[in-house]
Amino acid sequence: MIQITNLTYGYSSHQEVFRDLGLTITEGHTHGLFGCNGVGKTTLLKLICGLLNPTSGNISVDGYKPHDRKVGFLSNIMFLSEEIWLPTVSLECYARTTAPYYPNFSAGDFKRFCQIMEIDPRQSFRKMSMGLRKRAYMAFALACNTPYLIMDEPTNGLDIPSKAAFRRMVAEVQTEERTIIISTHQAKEIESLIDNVIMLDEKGLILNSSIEELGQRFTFGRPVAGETPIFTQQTPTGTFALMENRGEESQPDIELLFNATIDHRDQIINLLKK
Amino acid sequence: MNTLSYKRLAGMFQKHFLENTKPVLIALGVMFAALLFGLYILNLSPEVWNAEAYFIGARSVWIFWMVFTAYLAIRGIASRHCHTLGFTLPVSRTERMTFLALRSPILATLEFLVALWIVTTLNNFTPQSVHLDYSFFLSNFFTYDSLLTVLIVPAIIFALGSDNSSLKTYQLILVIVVINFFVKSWEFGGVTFNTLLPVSHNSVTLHDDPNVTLTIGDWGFSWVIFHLWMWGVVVYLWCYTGFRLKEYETR
Repeated sequence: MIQITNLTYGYSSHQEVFRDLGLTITEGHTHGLFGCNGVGKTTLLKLICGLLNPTSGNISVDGYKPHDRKVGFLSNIMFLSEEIWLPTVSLECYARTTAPYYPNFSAGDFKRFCQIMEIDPRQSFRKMSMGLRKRAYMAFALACNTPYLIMDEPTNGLDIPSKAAFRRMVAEVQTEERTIIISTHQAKEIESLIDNVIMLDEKGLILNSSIEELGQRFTFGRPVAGETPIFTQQTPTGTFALMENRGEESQPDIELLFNATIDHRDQIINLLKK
Repeated sequence: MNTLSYKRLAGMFQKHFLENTKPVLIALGVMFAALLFGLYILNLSPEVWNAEAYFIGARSVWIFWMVFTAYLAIRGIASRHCHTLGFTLPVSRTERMTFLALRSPILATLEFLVALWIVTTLNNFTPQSVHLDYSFFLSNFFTYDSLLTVLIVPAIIFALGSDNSSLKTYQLILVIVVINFFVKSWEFGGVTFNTLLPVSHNSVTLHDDPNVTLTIGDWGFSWVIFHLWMWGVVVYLWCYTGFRLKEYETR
């Protein structure tokens, strides 16, 4: 479990990204991290991975303080950053030198993920396009089978078939022992994968709720006559609304929820607190 | 608890050398070019081959070796080991610092051996009078510079080198290398200083032949180029490391 308490962090003393942020990320779930540009999604992921040091407050990942960068912690976490730097060697060579650091690395999974991603592991990273490199690294990262898998904008730069392959791979590695955090702006692309939603804005955490809970609290769909929607959104296929749920559970539309949250932050928070 | 696993440490070296073969080869190529440049200085005035020229030529090679060692170490550390992937690699802080501390002297020794090999090879193809002085090379390798590289730098890394302040440590190393260069320049017994600012005396009497005199006009200009280039490298390194520092110092 990832426990964040009273986290304050800023890149400079004048510009704080988080102030007293509190957040619990439960294990065994796939969390979608959403927020507008600049609210601190990547910063939060880097803080969780130990790449940044909190100004104050605590982060605990299974009892480890990330910034201590203990071997036990680092071998349990895999961070797939948005921009990946890779050496000018083949994926095979890279896996040979890096995999020994990850005790749960599976050569069988690696081979299978390379096939799913249509990557030749003997090809040098230098000869790969940005999208191919990302696919190649994803195949390696997922094969490491770390209990924590953190991905920042994983689908950026991927073509349409690769996005489908990515979803297939993530679905395959989702287990009760594995916690996955995916930060993205492409809500639709990962909607089917996530079972918990975390939303941030410049003031901090807006919501951290399971898909189930969101489906129980809100109704997502066409406006209902006589019902006052919290938020409506015009799309080419018609009008969609977010309403307070008074009946059956509905399938959350993350994009709709996100837009509603931007416009009606407090209302959404209050409804979730009920 | 910080741990030190030799298996992981060996893995880091294996990973580093496999993944950085090309940059290391490029650096060695630059080293070779630097060596040729040193020999070019040595060959400027064939009629003035003498002990002084050997001395200066060997010095120039030596200084190039020092600067490019620093170049390799700092550029390599700054650009590669500060990278996200580098910092998320599951190794302990002690292992990371041991690796960084050992890496520079290992590379430096490798370069030195290559330089020595090149000098040997060149000596076989040049007249006796043009030969470089091995003893100068070897005696210096085990004196001040090597102490600095092998002992002081790792000590500083160990002392200050938490991941938080590691880049600042590297800049400090650069400062030490630059100071070292200054000290070395000064050690020329006035030759470097005078050729850099050719005012106090403009001639050097040769050790082996008092009838031949080197004048600033013979080789002073090359020393100016040499210094411009050398300091250009230092300034570049400083800016580069500073840039990287700014980029990563938030951690």
